[in-house]
Amino acid sequence: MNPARLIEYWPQLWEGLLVTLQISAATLILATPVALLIAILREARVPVVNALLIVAVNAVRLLPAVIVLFFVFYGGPQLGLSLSPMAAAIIGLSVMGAAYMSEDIRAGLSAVDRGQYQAARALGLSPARIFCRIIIPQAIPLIVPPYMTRAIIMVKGSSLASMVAVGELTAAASRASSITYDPFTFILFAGALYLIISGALVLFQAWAERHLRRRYRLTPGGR
Amino acid sequence: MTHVPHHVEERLMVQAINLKKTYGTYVALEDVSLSVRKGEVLAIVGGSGSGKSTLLRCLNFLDPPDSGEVIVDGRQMGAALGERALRRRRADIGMVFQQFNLFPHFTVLQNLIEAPMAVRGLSRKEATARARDLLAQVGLADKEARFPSELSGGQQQRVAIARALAMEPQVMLFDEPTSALDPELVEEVLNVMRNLAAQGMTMLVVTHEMQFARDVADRIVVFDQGRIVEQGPTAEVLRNPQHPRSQAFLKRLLRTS
Repeated sequence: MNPARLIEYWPQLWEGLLVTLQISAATLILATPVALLIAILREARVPVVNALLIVAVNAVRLLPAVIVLFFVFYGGPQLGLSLSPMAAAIIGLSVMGAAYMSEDIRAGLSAVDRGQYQAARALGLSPARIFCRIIIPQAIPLIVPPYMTRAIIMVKGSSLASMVAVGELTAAASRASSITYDPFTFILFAGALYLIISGALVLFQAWAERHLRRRYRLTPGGR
Repeated sequence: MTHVPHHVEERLMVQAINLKKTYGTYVALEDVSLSVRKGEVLAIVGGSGSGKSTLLRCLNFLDPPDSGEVIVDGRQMGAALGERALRRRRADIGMVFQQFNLFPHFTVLQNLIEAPMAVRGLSRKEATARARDLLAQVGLADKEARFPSELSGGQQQRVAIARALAMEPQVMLFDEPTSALDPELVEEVLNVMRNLAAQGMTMLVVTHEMQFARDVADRIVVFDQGRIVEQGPTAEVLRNPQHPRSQAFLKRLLRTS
């Protein structure tokens, strides 16, 4: 462990950290609404759409993330769209994240008591209203824990962007390691930074769960 | 408890004609027809899986029948109306569920004003005034700020009845409204229903409460295996059931109640 080296390579590491934060934020912001849309469409069970989504979600879920990233980065130009490494990484990781998250969200939506749909429909409420006002608010407390776990996995997964030449935190730390032959210092430091980011998400999750319990008067596991 | 007097008009409020409903190979309703007059209270009895609840869900098209017609207040229900019109017609039919199905993330008041505002276009002020009236009617005026989880089962079911009434329905469907309640809470819900009958509400009540049926229902319909095996004036059916299935079923119910 050599703190002097950290100071020497700080500009690159700082740059890498910023890129990691950017990728993480971008993938979460892109993946979440897409995942929600997929989950809602799956729940609505429109015959053909549902079948297509099952195939698409599983295709992505069953592939290694690196393969998906390579596919976007190297395959993109073949399909006529030339993407910067950063854009390719964000698209690939968002696609992965959306596929996984859609399953987390779907599980939460389908865990809401069927009687809630029946009561809401019997009152004449429209499907959109039922979803926004009745189902989603009840599903959110169920979705938050798996969603946040997924968000943490996605933040850590941003390190895969180094595979398509994005200079994010892992790439910066690994480059500094190979120049200085001091992997211990840099990898440990990078690990600590990941721990801080993930830790912040864990704290946010705890706060969100507490807030939701109060907001909806929920007792754990209760109605 | 004595008979609850109420006025029954000649006009038909609900007509079900040749309703059929199957789930896969299971026949839930096999050619069911019945009619209910305005202000009439109909008790629907029968064993579990006999089609009683399916009938209620077919009447408001929560679960559309495979074939047959439903006419409510002279107007046909059905998918042919289009989704929006069907929703509006459905709102004219109040429904109360065995499991209450209150919205747990809403307060009592929010439970009562959500649909009147969204479906009937009432302002928050109008909806709130109506909701408070109804809560007073079911004896829960002091509970409007509570959440359902803070109420007893009987209180929750009374809120559920008030929620349905807030839509000013022409007819109320009750699907075993007291079956999920502790015995000591049954009576407070039945009393609310007695009041409703006395006010002239048309009611279809799936129930095992024979005392309630005797006091309130004008007619009894007995279901067995997706068919109506017997129907007639309450006193007659209770005193002298004709069909062997209703004899067996009523004997069992009357012994326990």
